[in-house]
Amino acid sequence: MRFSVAMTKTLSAELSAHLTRADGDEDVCIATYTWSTGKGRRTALLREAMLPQKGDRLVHGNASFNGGYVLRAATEAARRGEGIVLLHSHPGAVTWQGLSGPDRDTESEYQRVAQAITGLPLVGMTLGTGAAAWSARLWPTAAAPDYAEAVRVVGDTLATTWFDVARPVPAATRYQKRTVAAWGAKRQADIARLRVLVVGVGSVGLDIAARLAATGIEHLGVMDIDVVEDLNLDRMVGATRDDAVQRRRKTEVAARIATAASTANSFTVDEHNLSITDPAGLKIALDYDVIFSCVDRPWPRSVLNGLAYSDLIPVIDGGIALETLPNGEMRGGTWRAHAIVPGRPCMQCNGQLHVNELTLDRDGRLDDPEYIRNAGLPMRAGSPNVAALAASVSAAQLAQFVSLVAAPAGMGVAVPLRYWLAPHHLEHLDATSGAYCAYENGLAQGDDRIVLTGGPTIIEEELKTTAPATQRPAARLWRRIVEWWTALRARRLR
Amino acid sequence: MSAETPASVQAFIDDLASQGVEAHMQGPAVIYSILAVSGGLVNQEVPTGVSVNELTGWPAVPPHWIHFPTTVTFEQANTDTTDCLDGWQRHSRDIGTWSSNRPPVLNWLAHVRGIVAGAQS
Repeated sequence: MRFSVAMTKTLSAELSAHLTRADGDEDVCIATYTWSTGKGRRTALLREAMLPQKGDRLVHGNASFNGGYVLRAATEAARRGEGIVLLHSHPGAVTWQGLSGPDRDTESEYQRVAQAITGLPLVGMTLGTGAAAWSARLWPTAAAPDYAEAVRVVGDTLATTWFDVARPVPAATRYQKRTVAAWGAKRQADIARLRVLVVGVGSVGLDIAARLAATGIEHLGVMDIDVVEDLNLDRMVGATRDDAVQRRRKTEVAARIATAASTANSFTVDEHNLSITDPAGLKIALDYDVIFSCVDRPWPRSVLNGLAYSDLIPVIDGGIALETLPNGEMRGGTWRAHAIVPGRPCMQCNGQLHVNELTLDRDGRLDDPEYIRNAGLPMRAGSPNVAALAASVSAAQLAQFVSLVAAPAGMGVAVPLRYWLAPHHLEHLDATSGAYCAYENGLAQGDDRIVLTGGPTIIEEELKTTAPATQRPAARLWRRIVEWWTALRARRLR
Repeated sequence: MSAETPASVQAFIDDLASQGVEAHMQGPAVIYSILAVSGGLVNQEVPTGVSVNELTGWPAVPPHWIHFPTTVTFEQANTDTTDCLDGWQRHSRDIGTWSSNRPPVLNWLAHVRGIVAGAQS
């Protein structure tokens, strides 16, 4: 089981403000955490800072905890069912930090206290104040820590400090020169290591998966329960008539197209043939760092809306609505893109998720003609959509992704956006978070999140991992052909 | 909270209690009464309830079906007896406005009161 740590940007700022001293000395403090447990990763979600009061610590160049402070914090954490995190700073450090002898002794000693009082292992964290670089380790026993693979700070931006031993820096490939030129080698290495999940790989999700692979993402997941049909082919660019004849899974097609587009030396794509509304689907999603929501049903969107806050995993959602006139001509259309992150309104608050539809969708009643007739609801037919405009949705979602992970000009994700097709107007929506929003108020609840999933998906197979692109004979052959053609073309140009 | 009461169900019961409405879990349903403020049953305490199964997502996802004794009738077609106590049936009722700017239980009680106002005496 991999281990990571995540916290909100707001909490990170609060902790950093305390740990970064004007006199250049170290400082210490304590926070609480709760678990978010995925299928292959456990994440400690920091919940609240418990800053020291007078006499709680000694600051003398190196800082140290007063035992009473740790006891008090552990007792309060236990009352809430949470664990504790001991944090200290390394002034001026800019990268992932290891443990000095005294730091190791301190954390090892307090591991026993934390475990005994809270019943949960101690988490230790270090802030490198030179670049807001967090590092973390888990103490399952007092003997030795397990280092986290990364610490994620989530808000309008996603700032990740990687432990390069656990997740080695990927070398930029020669296929990525223009990408690296856009945001630099370090940013490229940070982005490439993100695990990104695309939920729903139809017209929009398929395009997003391919472009993420081309960007250099090393580990992609695609989740869908559908197979390719004839009516998908006017929007799923890259899917073939044979895919429809064979009724191939959309995940298989997305994996094939993403693999062909990948530019990383080591690329894997996991195919998850189940729904995000399935508890097993949610568990898989909790292994990822960023999720694209490319589904249009209320129920799966509500699950994704929830985990964005409860488990601090940014969700980038989008959708399109085209309208026709009674005579069949086009009236117009809109498409939206919004990042669901702490500090931005959830899908319910931004008007994309309607409470009344959730239970109906969960019960399958939105597909029940008799129920719909009796209730006087409009029949849900397949919404109109065209490939030429689906690309606008994927582009809008991918632009939010770039703002999230690359923060151009230091700016993070935008407010919810809506593009009006007829006048070609981009609207910045004035959506605000409700004070009683059940989703946003469930921040960092982790495994205590509100249960929005239902029963298991009926599937034939749960997971199939495609071989890394570089290990596939067809991919190797294709690359050799491309290289040969490129070399030949260059010779002709000379 | 008793060992048998799921956390989300207890949260629903606690939320109702915060508004002075006493609710309890009875078999597959949570049962309580509200005062009809208008309509054919005005000034009467009307027993009502919801399915425990529909409370798993509370307060993010409110129930859709509302339980009433069969003596409380409406001009509406979608009813069944799933999760209902003997002598009760549940009615399909779409939730309209659900504001995240006020406590979920107030949204819920306004919804139920609106439905009860349409009950036939």
